[in-house]
Amino acid sequence: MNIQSAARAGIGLRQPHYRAFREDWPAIGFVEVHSENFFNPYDAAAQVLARVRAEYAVSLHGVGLALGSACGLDDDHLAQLAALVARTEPVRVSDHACFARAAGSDGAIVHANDLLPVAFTRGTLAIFCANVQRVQDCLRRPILVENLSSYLDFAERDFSEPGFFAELTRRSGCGLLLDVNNLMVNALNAGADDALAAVCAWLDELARGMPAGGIGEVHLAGHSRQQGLVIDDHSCVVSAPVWQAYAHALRLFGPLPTLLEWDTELPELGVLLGEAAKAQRLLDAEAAARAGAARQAEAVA
Amino acid sequence: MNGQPAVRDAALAARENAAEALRQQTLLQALFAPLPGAAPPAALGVIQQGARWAAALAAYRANGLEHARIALRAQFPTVLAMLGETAFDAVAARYWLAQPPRVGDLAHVGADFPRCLEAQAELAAWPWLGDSARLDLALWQVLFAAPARLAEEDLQRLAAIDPAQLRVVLAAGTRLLESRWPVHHLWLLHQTPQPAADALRAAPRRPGETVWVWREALQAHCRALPPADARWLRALCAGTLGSALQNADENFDVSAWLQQAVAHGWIDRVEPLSGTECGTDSTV
Repeated sequence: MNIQSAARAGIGLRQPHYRAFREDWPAIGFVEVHSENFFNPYDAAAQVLARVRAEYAVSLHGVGLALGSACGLDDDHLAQLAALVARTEPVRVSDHACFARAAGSDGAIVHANDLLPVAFTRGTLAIFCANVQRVQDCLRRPILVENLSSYLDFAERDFSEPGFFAELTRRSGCGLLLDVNNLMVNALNAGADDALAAVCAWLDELARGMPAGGIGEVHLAGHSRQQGLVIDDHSCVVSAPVWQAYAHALRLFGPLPTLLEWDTELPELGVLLGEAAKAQRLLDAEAAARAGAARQAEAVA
Repeated sequence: MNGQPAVRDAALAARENAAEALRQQTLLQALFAPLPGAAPPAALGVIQQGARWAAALAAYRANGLEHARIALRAQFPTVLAMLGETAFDAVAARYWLAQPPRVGDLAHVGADFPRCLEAQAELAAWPWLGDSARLDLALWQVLFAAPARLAEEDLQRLAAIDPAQLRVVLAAGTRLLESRWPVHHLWLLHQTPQPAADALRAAPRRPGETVWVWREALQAHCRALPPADARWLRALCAGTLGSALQNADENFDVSAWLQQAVAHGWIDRVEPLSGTECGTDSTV
């Protein structure tokens, strides 16, 4: 009934919401799930996903590919993702611009199970291009790569962050999953005097360098302050500055499928759906503004 | 001449890759170090220093520990009930730092947790914890196994072919766990939120148990086996149906066992011996 998601708002579906979701079947654009939570084809979660997929466009968002790892990808992880993609036929497949795999102290590969930051260097770009290409070859479809929230920055860099993503999309054919909250977290942790202005400047630079159609999805979430840092914990409603930055992104890039993420301290499903409705209103307003501008241009012509 | 720039490019690319590999290795080792480093390693080349470095490293380490805590609590509910949240989380943290995960799917992070529990000196007074963890792990892992495929033709083979020429392949993920502790009894006690203190005190004095683990539909199940059933399953895993029949206890009711096995999905297939391996991953 809801198999379309272009420029609509969706929500991240988490286990505590399964029951409420399946009682209401809310009118949303799409559902996103964490890929790794559905690698097992034989458990109850797989059945839930199959049922949800019958009603909604589903986007698979991974946390474990570790696309920026210099040691390469885990073959088994990629094979499990490919099997899940084949079962689910998702509308989008994405993961993060991070590394997680590297040799441990004993020389064996360790997987940190976290989204660890990378330096925006030529070396990192080459690593991403090779790994992304491998995933896309395996899945036979382009993927989206999400910009990170990072608590560390590296002195060495050959690209600005937007420049890095523009180059990555150009070279590998992948798209960007634009996480606006992550941009805000980074700006706040960098001590920006005006974090919103810093995020908008980041988006402006991206708009100048990004190939047309290079952004495939937007993520919105809440963040919190803990022990001197702003943490991207997806634990609360989207902050007002993030909504403003999101509106700026829509003006620059047009309406895009938008996901509301909430991963810790989950509220009632209705709260998350309320956030998605708010995003949908902004999407509709931007679409209406563009349609109005197009009509005006036609009239002038 | 034309090849030289390409060689130079390849050499540069290799150096750049090696530099990133070193940076990543350095950060990973900082995350899994027993104690957080006060200053960032030079090879990392990060901007953040002092308190800001400490806060960032602490945030990443805390995130990793939180992942470990959540994943291990889900995989070892009986051990969690036995130890309580505080002690369990402390062991989970030690495990995470001492044996970092090898894969990016947290569902498989607990494979070595039973051994880790046994290695904790503070837990030596609870020597059954390791085997209780093995039972938890078996109950968790069986949910990742494909359901049994037993078909009508498998049952027809049982009736038509000499048992000496048949192998019964048990369903994937089924486990036969032998312990010198009453691990099934302990598991059963901890299925209630507050087990009776008397029963808990008396439990370790009971004899050891052999536990059979299987999945039925979407649920994992386990039961303690009488010695005759355990002997039968061990023989079934090790050889042909014929040898299992020969070694079965005199009073063991094979027909009744077969009925149960079919009803509960314990048998994946019955196959002629010619050129096939025993496909079960049941372990003794």
